[in-house]
Amino acid sequence: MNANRESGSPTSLPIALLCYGAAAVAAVALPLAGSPLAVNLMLRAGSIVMLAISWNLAANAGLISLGHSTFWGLGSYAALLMGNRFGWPFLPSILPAMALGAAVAALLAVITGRLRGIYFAIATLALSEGLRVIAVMLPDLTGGGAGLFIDQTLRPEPRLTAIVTALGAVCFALLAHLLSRTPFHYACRAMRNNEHASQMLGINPLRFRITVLALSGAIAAFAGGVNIWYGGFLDPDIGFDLHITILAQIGPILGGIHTLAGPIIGGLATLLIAELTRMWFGEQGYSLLVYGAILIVSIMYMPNGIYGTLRRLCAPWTKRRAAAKTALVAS
Amino acid sequence: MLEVRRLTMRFGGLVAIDDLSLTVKANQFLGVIGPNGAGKTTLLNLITGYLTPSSGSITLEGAALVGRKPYHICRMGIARTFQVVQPLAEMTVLENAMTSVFYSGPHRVSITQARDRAFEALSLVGLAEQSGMLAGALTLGNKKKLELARALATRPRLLLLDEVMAGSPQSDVIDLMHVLRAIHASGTSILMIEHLVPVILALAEHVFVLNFGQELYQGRPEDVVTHPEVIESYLGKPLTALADA
Ligand SMILES: Nc1ncnc2c1ncn2[C@@H]1O[C@H](COP(=O)(O)OP(=O)(O)O)[C@@H](O)[C@H]1O
Ligand SMILES: [Mg+2]
Repeated sequence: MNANRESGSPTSLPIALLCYGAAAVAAVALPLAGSPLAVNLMLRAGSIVMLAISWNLAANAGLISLGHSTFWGLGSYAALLMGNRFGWPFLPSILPAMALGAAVAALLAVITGRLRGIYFAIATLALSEGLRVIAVMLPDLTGGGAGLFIDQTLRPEPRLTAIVTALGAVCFALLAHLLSRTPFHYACRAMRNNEHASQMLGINPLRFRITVLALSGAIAAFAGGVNIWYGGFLDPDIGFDLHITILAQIGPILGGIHTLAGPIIGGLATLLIAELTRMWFGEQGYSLLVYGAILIVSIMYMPNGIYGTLRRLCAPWTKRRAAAKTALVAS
Repeated sequence: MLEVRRLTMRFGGLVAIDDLSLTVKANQFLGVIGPNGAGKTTLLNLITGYLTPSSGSITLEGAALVGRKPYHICRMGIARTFQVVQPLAEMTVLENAMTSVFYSGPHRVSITQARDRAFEALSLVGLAEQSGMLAGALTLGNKKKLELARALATRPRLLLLDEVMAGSPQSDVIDLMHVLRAIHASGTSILMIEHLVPVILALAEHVFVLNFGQELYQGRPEDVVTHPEVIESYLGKPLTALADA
């Protein structure tokens, strides 16, 4: 019926819940059972998927962010400082990290007012770059350009950070799925399509802008907060890294923007491509070039992302199955 | 119901609405006609909060509308269509109408309820069969119908229509006229801007002629078409022949 699946259909919910359940089990089991490599992979997979979900939520409402490292970086600094200054351990420190990410995102929503499209994107880019510079200029708080190590006595086992990251990714994927079945999702999409006209349907754009950005900011800050406990070291270039910003949007674009499955598929595919090219071409040089080339070609030849392409390829099959079903009912 | 008092709207040096007063009575079907550029769309933009007037007041059952945002005015019970259609292009026709339902009323509405109400509105305007299509893929005539369905799905007390029939095939015009009659009969007040004068004459109880942002004439439809000034400035020729059509 509709080519773009932006929301989960009611019939798919039980199946989806099963998938999330299975993913949650894997999120706990793999790092527990696996090698340090598995722990590292789970941590990166969870992070990349969370970033993709976070970015896609904002994109659903027409807010294209070029500064997702803002929230990641704020989350990292908040978690690190809660540990180093107040002795907060790993898990509790994630809450203030999320709160800070949400608060700054909400502030961004208010300040950028009615900015849309490229103007909003540039504002987000400016914010992340501005925060990076501020972090350099506040050595008493952030350690400045030299950076800071997190209090080693508080550091959790790497396995735990990987489990929390992977579980977080599953939870936020589920949250995005459940949200897609609420009026909130309709309002966001209406804003993306036509903010002017959607006001006449009773939609207050600022309200949804604040909510969706705060949610997006909190999710990215969660990812940043957990990662600092795994990595142990933070400086402004790591916290407000442009690479994070790019990673956040590659997943949804490669997987299928504005869809539920797209950011997850795309995020995991990005990681897979990065790992495979590294395995085949070694650590540096050609590896990055091939990685970039694969991304570019994939995005060029799959304008609706991997998920959109899969759906198109499966369409004849689904149709045939639906036809068979109706035939069965008719007979 | 709706009171527009001494309303003026200036765009730089251009006076689009000039000291205009107009009333829509409860359950009235008011037709508004006037040449291109007369200020009809501007009037709707002022009523629905898309523009803030230079001076004057607009009230709905005594409550001031000037200074309120469109989403607030929607929740007060006013709905409108846009002359230049504004479909939510990447959403289906049904989702367009569902979006109308969620935030236009005082109560929370479930997805299922919204789907039912949206489908009702789509069926009424004759878009039920297209409900699964993306709104951006509709024909212009159907996009106009979607404008109407979306407005109706908010369950307005006052419906403002901006040339909702222009661009529709003749058969659709007849259908839409029946639809509007039914909506009016169910108790909704209507202010209808329309270029197709015969349609206005057939539907409206009262006709307001706008010219250069001012009232040129208002009265019963049959009087409007024979009024010399209206004929001279707008119709060009007596419209009795057309009215019979
Ligand atoms: N936003 C605007 N800025 C400047 N001029 C405008 C604007 N909107 C309308 N106008 C002008 O106001 C006049 C009335 O326009 P409009 O209300 O669209 O007329 P109508 O709907 O009766 O054809 C026109 O001269 C138009 O150019
Ligand atoms: Mg107009």
